[in-house]
Amino acid sequence: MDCKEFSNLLDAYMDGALPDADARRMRDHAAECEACAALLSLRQDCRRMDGEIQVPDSFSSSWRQAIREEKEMEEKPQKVFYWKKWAAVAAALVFVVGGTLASRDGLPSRRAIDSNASSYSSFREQALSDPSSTSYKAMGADSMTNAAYDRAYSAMEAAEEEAVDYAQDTNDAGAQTEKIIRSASFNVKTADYDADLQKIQDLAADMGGRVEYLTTSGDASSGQTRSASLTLRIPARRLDEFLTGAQGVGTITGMTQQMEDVSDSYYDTQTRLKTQQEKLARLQDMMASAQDVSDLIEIESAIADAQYYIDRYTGTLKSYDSRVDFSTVRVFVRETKVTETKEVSLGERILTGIGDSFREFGWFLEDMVIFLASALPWIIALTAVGFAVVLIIRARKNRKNKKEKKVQEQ
Amino acid sequence: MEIPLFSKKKKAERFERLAAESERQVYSVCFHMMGSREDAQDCAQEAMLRAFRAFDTFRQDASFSTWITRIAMNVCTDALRKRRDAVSLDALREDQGFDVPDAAPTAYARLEEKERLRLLREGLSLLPPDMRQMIVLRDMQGKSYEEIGEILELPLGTVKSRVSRAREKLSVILKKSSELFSSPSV
Repeated sequence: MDCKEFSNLLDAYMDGALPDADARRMRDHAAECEACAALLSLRQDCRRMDGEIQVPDSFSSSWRQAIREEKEMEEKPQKVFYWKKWAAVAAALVFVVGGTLASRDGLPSRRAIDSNASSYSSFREQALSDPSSTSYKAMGADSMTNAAYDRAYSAMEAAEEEAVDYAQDTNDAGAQTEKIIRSASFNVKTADYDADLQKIQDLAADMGGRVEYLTTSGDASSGQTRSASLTLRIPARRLDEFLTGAQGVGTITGMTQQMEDVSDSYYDTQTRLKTQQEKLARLQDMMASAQDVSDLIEIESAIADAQYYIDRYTGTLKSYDSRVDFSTVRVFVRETKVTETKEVSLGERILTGIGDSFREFGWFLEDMVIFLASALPWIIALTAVGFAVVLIIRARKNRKNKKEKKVQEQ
Repeated sequence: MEIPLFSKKKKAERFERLAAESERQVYSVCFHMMGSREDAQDCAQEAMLRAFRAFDTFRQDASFSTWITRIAMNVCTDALRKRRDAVSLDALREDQGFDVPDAAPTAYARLEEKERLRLLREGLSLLPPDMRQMIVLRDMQGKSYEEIGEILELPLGTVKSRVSRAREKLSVILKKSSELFSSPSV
């Protein structure tokens, strides 16, 4: 064997992979060749070094302890993470469900109101054509002083006051009849809506009254409950008869009657009217005999004042008369659906309940989708902010960990 | 693939069982690479921890021992890279050459075993990490070239040439150091 062969077989010799004969030849060569012996010695020393290694007990225990601590660290954040995950899920549920429930009233309705419905347009027409408004001309009176005007006006004012006081003091029940304004209102529930509505109007006509205002709402063809609101003017002397007759129409609920004694106000106004009329007559006489242009102007002004008050008091008296002679009756008619009741079995009730729940749940899901769509800008904004916060926290954590690792290595 | 929470405990138990079998292998590699008990223990513990953290990715296409030895080697080379004595290694590398095929450390062989082992340890510490790996795995632990290729993820040819160069280098170092040791003091 030469050194080259020895060198080539050395690996196999060290691994114990050589046949015995070759191994012996290797040993024989090493005994003769110092260089090869040195190589062999070196290889053997390497193996010996590894063989002498003993694992310290401290290492055995320390790596096990380190693994245990690592395991606990892995579990701890994950538990927290799980808790955080479920908390986030719960918060999201509360947001979505709570937000949907809270905002349901504000969400677009399933039925849009039809503002062109006939009941609304008729209501608007009635309001616009209300004949009960009265206007008076505003008369501005000059305040120029004039001896004749002042004397005549002062005298007329004094006379007017005397007339009012006289009317209040005498209180003569025989010369002045009571002025009572009566009014009433009641609600009617009816299953026969059309017929009963007509009955009320016919009854009013029979009593010599009239329908001053009528508005209806609801659409029978689409299953909506119909209702009507009427303002009737019934002759006061036949009001009780009317109210009795109305008892037979549908089911009356919530009837009220009112009486207002306006006698004092009425006769006050009457007296004032009379005074103004007399004043007007005197002023017209004064005008006929007036010489001066300035007197004429002042008397004209005073006449205008008097005319203004005459118009006003006349209107007031007319209104009183109208309300006294004709009582105002407000009627509200509401259609009710006739339902036949029958015994419902437990099974049917359960099925109905389940059906209702599914329907309600379906509506809830619809509302939730609408809510989420409406809240989308907020969700996007909050998600972006949350993401940024998480990134910042993670970056800080990583920096801290790197710092600690560096310190440990040093 | 993440192991769900309920099997984390089983993961730790399985790892500990496998790691216990490779405990000596890991410590031995770290001791030979680092040259001191303290550094060896630190690196070996770090290797165990890294292996535990990466246990989820252990694909079982290599043996656990091969896999954890690779991790231990990486830990040691990382640690050695940071050590200052790498500077002196570079200087030594330049001084010595590889062109002395018959630089057998004959003087080394004449020394007492104790002295030889001491010089061997010193010589090993003077080798650059990539050469040191070869001596440790092939000559000290007796790993086959194929196994070394699996551990270091190197082709077989590269492993063989690196082992050869590492041996030559170590021989030169030991020749020089043993001649220095053997020469009578003036």
